[in-house]
Amino acid sequence: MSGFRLPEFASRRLPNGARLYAAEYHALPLVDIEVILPAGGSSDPLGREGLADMVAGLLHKGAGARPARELAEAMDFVGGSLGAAADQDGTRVTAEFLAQDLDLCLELLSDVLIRPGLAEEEVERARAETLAELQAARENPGLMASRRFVERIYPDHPYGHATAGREASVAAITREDVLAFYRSTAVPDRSIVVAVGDFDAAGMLDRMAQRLAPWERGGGAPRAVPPPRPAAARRIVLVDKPDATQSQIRIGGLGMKRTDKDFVPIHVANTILGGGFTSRLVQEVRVKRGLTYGISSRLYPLVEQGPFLVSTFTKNATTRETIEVTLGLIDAWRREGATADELDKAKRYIRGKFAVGHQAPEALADAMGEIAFYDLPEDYYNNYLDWIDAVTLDDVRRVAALRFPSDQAVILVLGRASEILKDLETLGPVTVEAL
Amino acid sequence: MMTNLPIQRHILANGLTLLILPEHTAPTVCYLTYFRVGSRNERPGITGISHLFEHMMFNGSAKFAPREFDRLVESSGGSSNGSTWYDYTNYVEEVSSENLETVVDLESDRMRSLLITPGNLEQERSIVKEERRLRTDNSTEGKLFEVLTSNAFVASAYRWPIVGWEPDLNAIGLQDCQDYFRTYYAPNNALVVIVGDVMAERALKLMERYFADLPAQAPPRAVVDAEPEQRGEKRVIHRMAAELPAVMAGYKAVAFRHDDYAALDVIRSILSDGESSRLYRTLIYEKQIAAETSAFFPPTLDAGLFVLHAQAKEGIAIEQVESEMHGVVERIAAGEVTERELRKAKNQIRASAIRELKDNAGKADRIAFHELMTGDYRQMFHTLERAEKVSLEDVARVASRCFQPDRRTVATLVPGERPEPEAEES
Repeated sequence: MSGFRLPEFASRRLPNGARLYAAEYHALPLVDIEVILPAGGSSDPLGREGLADMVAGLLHKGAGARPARELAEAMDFVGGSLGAAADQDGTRVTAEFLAQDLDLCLELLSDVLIRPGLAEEEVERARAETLAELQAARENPGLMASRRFVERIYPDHPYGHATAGREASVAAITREDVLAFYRSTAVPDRSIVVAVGDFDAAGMLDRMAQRLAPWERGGGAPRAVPPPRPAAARRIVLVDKPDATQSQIRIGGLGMKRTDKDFVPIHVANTILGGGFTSRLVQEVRVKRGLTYGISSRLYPLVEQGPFLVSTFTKNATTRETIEVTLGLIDAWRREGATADELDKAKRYIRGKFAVGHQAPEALADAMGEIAFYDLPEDYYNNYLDWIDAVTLDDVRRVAALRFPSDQAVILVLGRASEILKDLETLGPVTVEAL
Repeated sequence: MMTNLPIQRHILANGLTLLILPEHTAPTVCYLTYFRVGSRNERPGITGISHLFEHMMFNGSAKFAPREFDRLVESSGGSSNGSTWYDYTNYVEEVSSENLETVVDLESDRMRSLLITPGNLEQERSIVKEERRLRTDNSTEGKLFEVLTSNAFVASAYRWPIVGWEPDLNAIGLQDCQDYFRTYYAPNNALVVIVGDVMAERALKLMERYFADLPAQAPPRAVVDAEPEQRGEKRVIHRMAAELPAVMAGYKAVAFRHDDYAALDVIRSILSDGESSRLYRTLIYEKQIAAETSAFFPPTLDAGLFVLHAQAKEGIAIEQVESEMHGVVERIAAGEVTERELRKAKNQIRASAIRELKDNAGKADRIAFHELMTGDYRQMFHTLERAEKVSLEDVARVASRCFQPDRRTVATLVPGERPEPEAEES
């Protein structure tokens, strides 16, 4: 019934340590490449939060013989795209070009990885642009709520800041910081390069190997991320936005590692709680009560425990009610687990979404990149749907009780304190912060 | 490019248009319905009913109790969604291919016998108002766009927001919904596209079995585009809590089917596709005066707006940003575009057209969109030819016609002033 298989990947390890993978895809004349460099936001030095993401953004601002403007022009001229961003664990460089432009694609990509300019002028520009983006983000209540929430669940931890950084830390970043970070982390030693597209796989490996051969080893090891500590007790934080007519709400805490042995049952359990549109949270909070337009629960698995969070929003007057209903649903869920019907539906839903979500070449490349980055078995996704099928009601009950912490949850609300604070205080002590 | 897609087109006896494309790369199927109705078909007093109605479509029909729709779709390994636009409302389901019949059954039943009850209406009204708060009232860009369009147009049905004015959302009644459903959700006002792991004959048989008994209705009243010619710049200021000032300029442009559409789409690409585009290069990279900038020109049935947007960087006067932004389009009208820039725009439009075909949903959407906008899905292949034929003379001619100060509306967001508290319902 499952039947999904990743395409056959040819692979090779280069003398400099980079691992290359290539699989053919001939439905459209496209080539997608994903490179994963083994350092992201969690490797930002203290006081330089935002550095990994800034370096990622700078890689294509001039590289090889081309200054920034010429590089953008070369890529845009053929309708190609190439960019990079950091997440907590790593930095992804992605490229998508028409197959007829494969040579140019590989030339630009190898320049960006091996010979980025990182010019002073570009660093200054990137710093100013990031500061402007951080300021503009303050107008986005949902984004701000999520960022504040992450800070709260990871106090004094490398995961405890947005990869975009903070205004003070970004302002402090110098070109020397950028160069040092690039030299220590944008190295082939543990990097992964995955290509999926309209090419011959064996020939593609040869071409990638030739282009990436001059990439020199770094030698150092990436900063190890310590395990985060769970919160001791439930806490309520209100970030005051005096003009808000709607409250953004985040409830959650520490979730799971990508390599967690319970990854599959936790994923199934979360789908039942707040994954699809027929999940408990959506049915109870949106469909039955009309309190919100959207609610979901999500897990972001990382090398160490990533966040688990329920996200929703509601008008000022129903803020407390929405939180109460949501907490009640999570508590009931932890006590009772799921029904057979819910489990069956969640499995079918995951299976269908999986097939739909793995049609595009970049999705196939990303699946292989994930396997390589987290050292999962190479045939991981060929067995994945069988593992989903094997999850039992007992599995769900067990992980629901243990892995969806609500009594130690951080409850973060971004909204208008003058209207909602009193009401929130009926739930427990509230810490109020400025936006 | 891809002009050989084996698409079959059928018109059922009741007028329902059906397009089928077998595609066997994944064991899934995408079922997409477009109704030829959107906010353009509304009138003052019931603005937002199209979008509100999209929400009501998931709340049960004769054979299926409320909430069954999503439960059955997700149990079929699928997901569903709907969206509302000026000119159309669409619904999409993607399910495992063996479950196509379940979707056909669900879709035909709600088109035949949707439950329209006071309870459903009240619940969705409240959810839609929450959506409006999210996307418009608490979003500076959403709000500024609403201010721009409602000031730019005088008579066009594009002058009210798709989500509707809040007092109208409060006023829409059950009878409005019933009339709306009968008129606009009739089979002769719908088109269905099926793309995926199915045999075309089986899909056609299923559709005939489940849809043949739905009666056609009188065609809806035609929409008149009565927008008078604009002869003078309009300027409007909107004050709201915001970090940075921003400006949007909307130029009266043309409909998707107009001969000048292709040239304007090329201009849109020159202005804002990628970091070598003119707006990014000028406002963000070289002059470093904007935090964000973009141009958008959505395809529409009636003449729409060509919109430029920029958010000032901290400490930069919005007047300076606006003047540089106008300068960028004036230079295009003055004939500064090069042969290479034109080639680049065409390459970008072609590459993005290829990208849209990566999955079943993307293919279905392109087929449905072109069938709805032009009456002929094969226009999806000609859109690229239209772009390919655009010359440098066309770019300069169309730009100087479109980008006249007398034909534009400029909306400026001024941060700071706190709005009066809104009346909140309990």
